[in-house]
Amino acid sequence: MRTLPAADPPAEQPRTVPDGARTAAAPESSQPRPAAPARQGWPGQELLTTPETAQVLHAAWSGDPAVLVPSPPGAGKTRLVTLLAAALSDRAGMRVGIAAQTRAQAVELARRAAAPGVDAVLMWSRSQAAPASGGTPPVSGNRIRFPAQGGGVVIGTTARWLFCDPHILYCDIMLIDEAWQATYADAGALGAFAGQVVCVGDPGQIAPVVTGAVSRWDRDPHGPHIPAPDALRAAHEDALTIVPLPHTWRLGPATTALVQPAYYPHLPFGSKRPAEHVAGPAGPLPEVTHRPVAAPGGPDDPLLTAACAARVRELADGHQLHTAAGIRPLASADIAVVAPHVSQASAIRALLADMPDVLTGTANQMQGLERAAVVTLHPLAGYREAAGFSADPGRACVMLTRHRAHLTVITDPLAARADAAGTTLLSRLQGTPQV
Amino acid sequence: MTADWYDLAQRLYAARTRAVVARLAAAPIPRVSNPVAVRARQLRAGVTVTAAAPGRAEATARDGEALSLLHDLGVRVTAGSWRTLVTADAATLPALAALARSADRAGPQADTAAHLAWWADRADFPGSSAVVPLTACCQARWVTGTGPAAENRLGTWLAWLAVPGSGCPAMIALLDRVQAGVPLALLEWIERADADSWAAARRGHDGGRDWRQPDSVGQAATGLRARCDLSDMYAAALLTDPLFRRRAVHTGHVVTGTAASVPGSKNTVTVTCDRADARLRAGDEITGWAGRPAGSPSPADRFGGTITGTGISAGTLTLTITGTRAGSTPAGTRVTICPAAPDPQRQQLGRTRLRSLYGTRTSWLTTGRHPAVSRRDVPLDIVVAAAGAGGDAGG
Repeated sequence: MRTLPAADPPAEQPRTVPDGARTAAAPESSQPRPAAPARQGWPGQELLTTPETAQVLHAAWSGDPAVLVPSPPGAGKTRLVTLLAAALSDRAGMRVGIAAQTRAQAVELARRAAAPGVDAVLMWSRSQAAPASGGTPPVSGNRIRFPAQGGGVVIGTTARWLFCDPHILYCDIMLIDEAWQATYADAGALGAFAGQVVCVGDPGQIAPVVTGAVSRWDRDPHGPHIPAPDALRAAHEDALTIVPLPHTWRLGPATTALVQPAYYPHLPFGSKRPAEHVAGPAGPLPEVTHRPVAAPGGPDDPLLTAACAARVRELADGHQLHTAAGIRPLASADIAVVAPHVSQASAIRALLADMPDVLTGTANQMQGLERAAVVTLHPLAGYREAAGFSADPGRACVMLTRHRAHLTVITDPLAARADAAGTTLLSRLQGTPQV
Repeated sequence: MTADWYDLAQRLYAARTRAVVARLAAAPIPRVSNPVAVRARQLRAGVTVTAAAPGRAEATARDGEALSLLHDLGVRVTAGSWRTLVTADAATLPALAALARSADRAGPQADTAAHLAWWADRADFPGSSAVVPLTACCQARWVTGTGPAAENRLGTWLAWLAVPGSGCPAMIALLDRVQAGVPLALLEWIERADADSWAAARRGHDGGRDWRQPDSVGQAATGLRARCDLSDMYAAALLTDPLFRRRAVHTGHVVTGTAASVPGSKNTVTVTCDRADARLRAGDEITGWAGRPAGSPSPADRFGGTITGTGISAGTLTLTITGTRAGSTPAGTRVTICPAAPDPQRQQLGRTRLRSLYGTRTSWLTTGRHPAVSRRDVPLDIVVAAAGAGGDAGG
């Protein structure tokens, strides 16, 4: 293990950028640098196709200390992070750190970061099996370094970054992926590696996992347990650049109309999903439907899990998926089941043992994943009152936003009187077509 | 069976036999040597404190006199060792924190106020010997034949455990019942953290630290990390208890199954699980042994390893475990698998690294200062695209 030298890392180190050329009328520059040329065909150039992603690139390149990018589900967050890293490292010649919140996310970012001209590495423990990180090599020990000249990208989990030496891995900018899953405590520590951060994430989903009690900061809007972007807004609102992504490419109009007011009241967004639907023998299925199943036996009532499995079998039998690419049968691999509890997911998995391609899991396991058709067991099903876990809006939001073409929610009419966060949405779900 | 049904069965059995049913074989807290039982209330008129200690009668006082009462009971950060706060309700700690905030930093009761502030900090640490939330500890150790809500009341436990008396003296007597026997394994790490924290509080007091000031960003971050680390350690401590493990089979935290060897691999074993609701995931470190969950294997009989694969086939969960001695488990052996306890040295290293990172004084994020802006020039095509006029992305 390396020990930290006594001195702090430099706030910013002079670097070589590709070359100086045409520049915009730049804001006042305390440390002027030559700007990069208007090159043709550079990595990350796709960012210029929409004003929002171009604004993120502009803010990051120009030196804004913190850029927040709140995004709805399926807005292209991973794409944004990888393109941004590519553009900043290749064209701006910057050293870019990327902090992911899980190993799987880090591997996915590494896989997608690989591009000609992008010098990227994935920090990976030597004791772990080599990941499928595509063209981005996994490295460990003293091989974890930025290139001596020009830009580069180092990818790792936040936990891995926090074991690194900022004197060796000091970056120009740190991109925090799924930043709403990072605590302010962890994001603050990443500040030792970079004077600039870009926080990209989904503010409607599951909050950071904090296993300790936090009563000490109960009333502190920038307590260490708060999602990093929310705490940054509370602490430094006037120093932030906020660029919301305005569209989802995954969710259709009906789902967007359902979840946006409930879970994203401060993030208006619309659907840009290409036309897509599931059709059965009787014609196209509505995008969002529900099936009421009374569960007198509570959340572990076998009626609930049996209803989920039965709906999956219905969908896999004689339904077709209509997309821009054509029409084909809806396969098991196109279907997912999301349940609130591990025990429920296990029971459903057992009931669908003959359909191993159906993806079954809890909200935590399903974050970041999508399928054409999803069967969701409503988080309040079986509950007569909304307790902490069952009423967690982040968890419910994940469960209702994993599908592209069709969602069936198994609801419990006996839970309709539940109060707190779930009531409004449960009522609205019961207003969707019944299947 | 689900954990809810398991709990209900225990509760019904307790009701039928009119005796508490043990949930833990060991004590859920370390042995406490200097307890002070306190009941405090914050009213408009001020803070009223009722307190007692072993050998000291119960007394009640308000505001400054309450600080003097606690001071006389040894609640002073300048004392050689800490006093353990024994509480039985949710209102006491906030009232004591308010009392601490009202004290003068340079006043004669500053050392008592600083000790109250230390209690308020340590209250977030389960298994701590600084603060013992009595009813929560009783609920960890036993289940009664009443409803769960009634178990939040001190009187319920005094009645079910036949502890005589009332008020603070009864709380001291109940503490003796809760801490009877051997403490859970691994609690020594939490006690060690209490001692380190106490030493830091004493140094801070000597150095003039104001207990009324909010945490800096670095203090808050390291405080959160310590809470999470020790909470994880407490969860692991519970899994060292055989009675707790029996219940944990029904929550998926403990897995039972049948081992099978992997041809050609000396350190890998697969376990066909009895249930599919395991919470173990690929990458998790585990400890295991041949035998039942309630067994007490010696360290020599255990094997350790990492889950390197999970699979569901025909509704049956199979775990692949790679690690020390895992492969020597004979095929067909019934095994129990638990998450491995966190490594306390690694936890300590993580906290040290976090503290070092927050020691970086040049960063606005680590210091909490307002950020200073340092600008770079941006190419015109990006400025134009960001302004919404569209860019030439076609290359």
